[in-house]
Formats: sequence, structure tokens, C-alpha cells
Amino acid sequence: MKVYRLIYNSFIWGMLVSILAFQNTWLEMRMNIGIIIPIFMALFLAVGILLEKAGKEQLLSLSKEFTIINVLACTGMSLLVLGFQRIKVVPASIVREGLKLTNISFDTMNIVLLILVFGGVILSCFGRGKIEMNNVKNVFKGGSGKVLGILIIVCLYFFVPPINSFVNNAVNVLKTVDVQSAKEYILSFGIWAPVVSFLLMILQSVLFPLPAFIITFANAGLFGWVNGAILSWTSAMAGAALCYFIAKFLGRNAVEKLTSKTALKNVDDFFDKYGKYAVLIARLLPFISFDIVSYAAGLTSMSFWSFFVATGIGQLPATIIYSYIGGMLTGSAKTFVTGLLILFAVSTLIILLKKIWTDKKKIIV
Amino acid sequence: MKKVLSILAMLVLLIGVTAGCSSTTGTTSTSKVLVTNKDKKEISMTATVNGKYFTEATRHGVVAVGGSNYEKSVLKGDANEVDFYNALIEIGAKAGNNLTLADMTKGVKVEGDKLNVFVTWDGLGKEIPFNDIITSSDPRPMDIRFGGNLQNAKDKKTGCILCLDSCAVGITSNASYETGASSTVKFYGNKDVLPKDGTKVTVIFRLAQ
Repeated sequence: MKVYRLIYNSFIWGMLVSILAFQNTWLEMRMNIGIIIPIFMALFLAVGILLEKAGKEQLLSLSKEFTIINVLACTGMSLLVLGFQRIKVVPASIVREGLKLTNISFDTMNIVLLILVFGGVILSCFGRGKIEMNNVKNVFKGGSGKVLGILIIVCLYFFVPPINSFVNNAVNVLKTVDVQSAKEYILSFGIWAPVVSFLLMILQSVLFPLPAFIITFANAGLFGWVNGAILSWTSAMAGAALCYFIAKFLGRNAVEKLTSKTALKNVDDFFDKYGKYAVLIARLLPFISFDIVSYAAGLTSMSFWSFFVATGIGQLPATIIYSYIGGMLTGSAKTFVTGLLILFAVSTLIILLKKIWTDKKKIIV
Repeated sequence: MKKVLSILAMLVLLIGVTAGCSSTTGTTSTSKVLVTNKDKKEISMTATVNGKYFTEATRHGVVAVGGSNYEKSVLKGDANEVDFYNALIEIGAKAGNNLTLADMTKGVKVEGDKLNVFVTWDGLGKEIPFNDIITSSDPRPMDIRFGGNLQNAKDKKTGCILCLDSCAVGITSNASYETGASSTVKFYGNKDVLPKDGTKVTVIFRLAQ
């Protein structure tokens, strides 16, 4: 069954890679893309045999749970890349061309592929042991699960044009650190503006140097300070959860690449000092990076729900204040000036608090 | 291991069964694949519709069986490109032979005698201009020319019979688009006009008077 799952999973990967290669017109016009599938299968079989001879077969041990998740993920990716119209043609044409079976219709080939893919999943479920939810969770903790997860995200960015252009445009807008640009960008999506704002907040959580307060101000300006605060709070919670799980999933090395070694080390010290209250305190201190705290929490043994509740409570005051200020900045000239003065005062207070905090740490040391 | 072998055997059987299921419709294999009519100055060639290019872009209109680009064209021709070239000479067409491989990136147009090209299939009862079976991101009226290019065709072995932009390898190509146009212009088979994938059609090349 292990050999079968290896062959089957490599067939699925070969199919996905050939679909991605098909997207390149230059390649598609010049080669038989279908040849990628048997190459992948042969390659993984060879690697499996070599690992077994070296006594390290567990490195490529693919469980039932992994197989099911792999098939679902690769099928989902293929659908995203090709769309509903092209998925009825492209995989069938790839296999048809690969096998030189030029007389087979797409309908027949699609039936064969459906039998292979879903029949293969069903066959994978046979074998010792039931499908356990713990094993499903463990899939993403294992090496192959991590590789699959990263591959999915990379492929989504590079091969799904709407995702690629959304991410590129969003990063360009956030890099300008301009509230008006952010507002115009979010508003350009019409009825989907709140959803886009939500996604932007999540994006800025992962891409550490992009500022969240721009989106908070923009939300307040677009939707009013109350609705803006609700939107900013919920999307920041989602972003925090994502960072937590990225850290849990990928580990410290990856988090250091997404943030910085120094910043992470500083927050480590904070966590060492304040233990389980670290997240709550960090959220209340506006000069401590929201995103780094989320990543750092994921690297500790802190449970997700403790982290989530502490984040929810801790970030509430800052969200309300920023949203209120952001709302004032879009009002009349008088409220605009008042808002600016409050913003100046809050910024000064933050700088002052940071200085007091830093000095206090030095004295204690 | 027994389980794996039995599954692989099932796979081979499944593929073998489906390979035996021919889905081509239209005329039977006893029809000649290339018919020359010197009086009408026309050549008829049977071909098969490739439905892949209803949704994917290509620059190949008709490619001959055995050519490396056989699976890359809207219509997969049943005759080979050398026989096709000779048939064009037989009906009195004159090749342009004005393009070299170096011209493929220079935006040059193919020359040679003009050909009116049509497509028909069983039950249609009429001839459809080749222009109508192709859609393009930059539509222009088709101007098919006898480019010649026999030596390039033999050297490259692509099997190209009709290219949708000017070409130094295709026996005939479309002078409406210069060489290299297909890097920006997208050509597709028109699924609203052509029959479904796998249908046998006849492509008629008629020397323009």
C-alpha cells in the first residue's frame, strides 16, 4: 500500500505540474507536456527505492490522510488555475497527448481521469487503521505536509492571475503608506470593499513591514469609525491567527525570514518575562509590533485560544482609538485639525511610553 | 507488491479499452486523405478537429500527421506536408519562398500565390471559409499564401501545412499577420462554428484566380 500511495501521489503531483507547465504557451507549443506525468512517477519511485535501501523510507511515507489532502489540494489548485471551462479540456488533452492516444475524445478521457483520481483516493483508504483526525492534523506538521502547503501558496501566487495581480496591487498600495491611496484602492472594489479590506489586513500581517494603521484609518474613513473599528478588529484577529499558525507550521527559521531576527529576539525576552500574560500586555502597548507578537506566540507552547482571547481583548483599545482618529480625519476642516492634534498627541504619548519602558528595562538589567 | 501490480494491470487494461474506442466521426478511413483536382485547381485534405484549441491559443491552423506540431493545431491533417506541397505544384500554384528562418523575428509577411481555403464536414452541406473557423484577439481577414518552404519543412519536421501568421516553415501561411505576430495575437478554433473535438472534416485549398 505504501508503494501504491507513492505512485498515486506522484501521479497527482505530475498532473498538477503538467497543468502548471501547460500555462506557459512557449512550453506548450514546443513539447509534449504529458511526458511530465510519467517522469514524476518514475522519479518518486526511484527516490522511494533509494530511501528504502538507505533505511530512511519514513521520509517519503505518505499516509492515507496525506493522500486525501493532497488530492483535494491539487484538484482545488487545478480548478483555480484553469477555471471550470478549461478543466474539462486541459487535463484530458495533456494525458491524451502524453499517451499519443489522439483518437480518444475529451469526454472519454475525462471519465478515465475521474476514475483514476477518485478511485485512487478510495483505494488509498484501504489498509491498516482508520482515518484519524489527529493524523489529519499531523499531516501539516510533517515535512511532506509543509512542502505541500508552501507549494500550494507559491503556485496560487504565480499561476492564478487574479491572485497574482491582487497581491501585487495591494502591496504597492500599502508600501506608499498613504491613507488616501488605500481608501481609493479599497473603494475601487465596490460592494466587495469590506472583503478586500479584510484581505489587505491579513496580507499586511504576513508581510511584516506593511503598516496596519493605514488600513485602520482607511476603514474608519470609508465605513465610519464604529463599523471601521469592527472591520479592523476582526480582520486583525484573522491576521493574528494566520501569523500564529504560520509560526506553528513553519517554525522559527521561516518566521525570522518573514520578520527579523532582532525583532523576534526582543519579543522573546518579553515573553520570557511576562509568560502567559505576554500577549495581552503586548497588545496594550502600541509600540510593540502586533505581527511579531503573533508570530512569537506561535513559536511558544501557548494554546491558540489563550492567544486569541488575549489578542482580542488587548488590541481593542488601540483599534478604537485609531479608528476614532481615522474617522475624524475625513470630517470637516475643524474635525480634521482636531483629529490631527489627537493623532500627534497619541504618537507623542507612544514615543514617551516607549522611552520609559526602554529606560525601565535598562535599570532592571 | 501484488496489489500494486494488479492495479497497474487494471490501469493498462483501462487505457487499452479506451484507446480502442475511436471517437472520430465523419467519413470512414477508406476515403483518400489528399485529393487533387487539376480542373478546379483545388486540393482536398481530410483532417480532425482538435478541441483543445477552442480554449487554448495556438498559431497552427493545420498540421500534418507525423509532424512534431501535430497535436498543436486547430485541425490535425491526415496527409503529410510534402505530398501537400507537391499537390499545390500540380494544380499550378507558385510558391513565394521569400522567408528564411531568420525572418521569423523580423515581422515580414509571406508571399506566394493566394489560396482560398474552406472547411466542410459530413452533413454540413456547404463550405465554410477558413477565416470563420478561427477567432483572434486581433481579427483581420485571412490571406492564405503558398509560402513554399519545402526544405525548411523537411529539416524541421514540424508538419506545418497552414500557419495562422506568416511563417518560414509552414507550406502555406496567413499573410494578414507578419512573422512573430502570434507572440502577441492569440488565435483560437471557433467552437461556435467548428464541430466537436474529434470530428473528421475536409479542408479545401483552392487556387485564387
